[in-house]
Amino acid sequence: MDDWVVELRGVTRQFITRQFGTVKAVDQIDLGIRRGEFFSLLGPSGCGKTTTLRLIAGFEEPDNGQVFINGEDVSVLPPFKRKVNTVFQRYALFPHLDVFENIAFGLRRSGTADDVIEKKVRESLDLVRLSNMERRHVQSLSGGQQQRVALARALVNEPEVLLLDEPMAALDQKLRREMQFELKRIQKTTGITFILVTHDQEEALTMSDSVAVLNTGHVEQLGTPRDIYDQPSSRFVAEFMGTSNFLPVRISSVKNGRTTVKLSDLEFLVPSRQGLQEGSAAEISIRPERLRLTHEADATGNSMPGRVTDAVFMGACTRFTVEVDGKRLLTAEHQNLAHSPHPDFTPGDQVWVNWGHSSATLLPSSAVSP
Amino acid sequence: MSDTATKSSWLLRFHVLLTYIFLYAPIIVLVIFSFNSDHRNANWQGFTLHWYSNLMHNEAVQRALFNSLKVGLSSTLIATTIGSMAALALSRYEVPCHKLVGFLVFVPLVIPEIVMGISILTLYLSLSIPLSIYTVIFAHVAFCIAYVTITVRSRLAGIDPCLEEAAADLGATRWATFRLITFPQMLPGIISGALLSFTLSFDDFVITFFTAGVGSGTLPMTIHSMIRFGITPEINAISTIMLTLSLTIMGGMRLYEQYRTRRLKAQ
Repeated sequence: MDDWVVELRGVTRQFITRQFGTVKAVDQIDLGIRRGEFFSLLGPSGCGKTTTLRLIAGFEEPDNGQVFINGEDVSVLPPFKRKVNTVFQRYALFPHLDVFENIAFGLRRSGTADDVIEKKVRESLDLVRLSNMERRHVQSLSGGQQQRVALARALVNEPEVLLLDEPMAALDQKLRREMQFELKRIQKTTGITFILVTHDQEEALTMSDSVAVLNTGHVEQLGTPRDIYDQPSSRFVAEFMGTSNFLPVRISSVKNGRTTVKLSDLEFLVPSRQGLQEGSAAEISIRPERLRLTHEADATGNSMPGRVTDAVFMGACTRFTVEVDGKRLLTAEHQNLAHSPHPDFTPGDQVWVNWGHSSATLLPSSAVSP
Repeated sequence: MSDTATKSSWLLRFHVLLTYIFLYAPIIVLVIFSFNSDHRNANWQGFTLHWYSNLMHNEAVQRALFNSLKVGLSSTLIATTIGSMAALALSRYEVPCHKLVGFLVFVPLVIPEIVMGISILTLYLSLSIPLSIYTVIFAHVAFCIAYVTITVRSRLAGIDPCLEEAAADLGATRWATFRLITFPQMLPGIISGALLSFTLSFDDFVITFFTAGVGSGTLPMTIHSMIRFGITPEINAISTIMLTLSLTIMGGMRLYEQYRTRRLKAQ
């Protein structure tokens, strides 16, 4: 039995809008979040990730299903009775209070003694590296500093779970990297469970222990960042987690965990997938960095002939566009290593596109044409 | 080309000057003549504070001033309380017929004062309520609520609703959230609304005229009855006092806002 600190069972939350009628922002979601992990809710805008967070915080009540925190059903418990704290997207610092009083707010509500408050506020300011800023007015702080105050204000209450609603969205690129690193450090130091809402796949991949990819109100895939990147469960996940090449194929045989698929008269060997039978249409997804271009066919994996149409130098790697099977375009990326084993290719070159037997992912056929 | 530009800029300045003279000259003249020792508002005879000291001994004016302050303060207190609550309800809670209620609050701003005065008087008569100073207060409350509600509502619109969620998230009950977060944030709006409603109540004539009982005349009504015997420098003096009071309130509002912004910038 897993030690879930937060659990959602069949949770549905719908909103009635004038424009679209009843919209299910969250539709029958089941989720379990382990104690002490860094968990991300990832998805495009409107996928239900923020509503899911608000259901855990208590700002929304589920229309159906239950929310558990520490095994206790909190579905209808108001936010001020839940042992979770939130870092809001626009920080929501209290403008009429200084840094100290903002951070002390939660402790004062729980009736903590003044000397303990004093000590805890100082500790939390040290934790977010804002020591000696107690008496500053919050509106005189920079965006990054406000973010840290918001973090300290939530963490000082030692919540069971810290909820973060796209906290980095308003920061510039450099500050965002810094904050991502900081958040990870703080999460490790405190051991508190973090649930992060984000639409930035790179952020989710680099920071999380587990990621739930959400789409139109349901969980599309739940797993470690590596699983989700390497073995996407659908075309949506594969596309959302970065660029990928998709090829429409037909399954010709399934044997020993490997499936043989056909594209025109070419045959490839890919890892099998449950529920896909011989003869059915399917799709394979291959990441650009898994494709290798060579002058001669590589007999150890899958390969197909093609013609280079474009080569773009991108610093750390070079991105090639290769036309295969008539007019299908594939993207391949080669690392620019000091002693590159790969020869250079220029547009017009006839090449072989190769990938390992376990490098591609088999997906059910999508209605969208590639 | 530049000739035309110079000419039009000169015309513009002249136009602006005329506008200001038209607006302010009568007021300045009124203030100046309140210090005129001649009892006619025609020739300047010399400086005196005689008319002001006269007012100190004029019992009718004293009573009217007292009534005006009583009406102004009571109606401001009541209207500010009700108006602020209405603003809070309209902007934070789901009120049935939200739009209609919001519109009805706004309507007293555009209803002609005379219509408002007559209708309130009709109401009092049909309920057989004798006219007194209290009927004036309630009539003033009726129109001041609109101004307070609008001022406080616009202030609330500028407050991030996330602040209230943040407070709840940090363990504050609804009452604590209101007391510690919402109310302090509303306060500048409430203060502006209160000052505005005092100013409006203090110089209202039409509605007061219809709703005042015997002996409950306010300052503007007393001035009106004094005018029937001709405009004396005494009236100039009362008007100057009222003007100073209004300007002081407005100036106070301005200083308060400046103080707030300066305090924020100082850090």
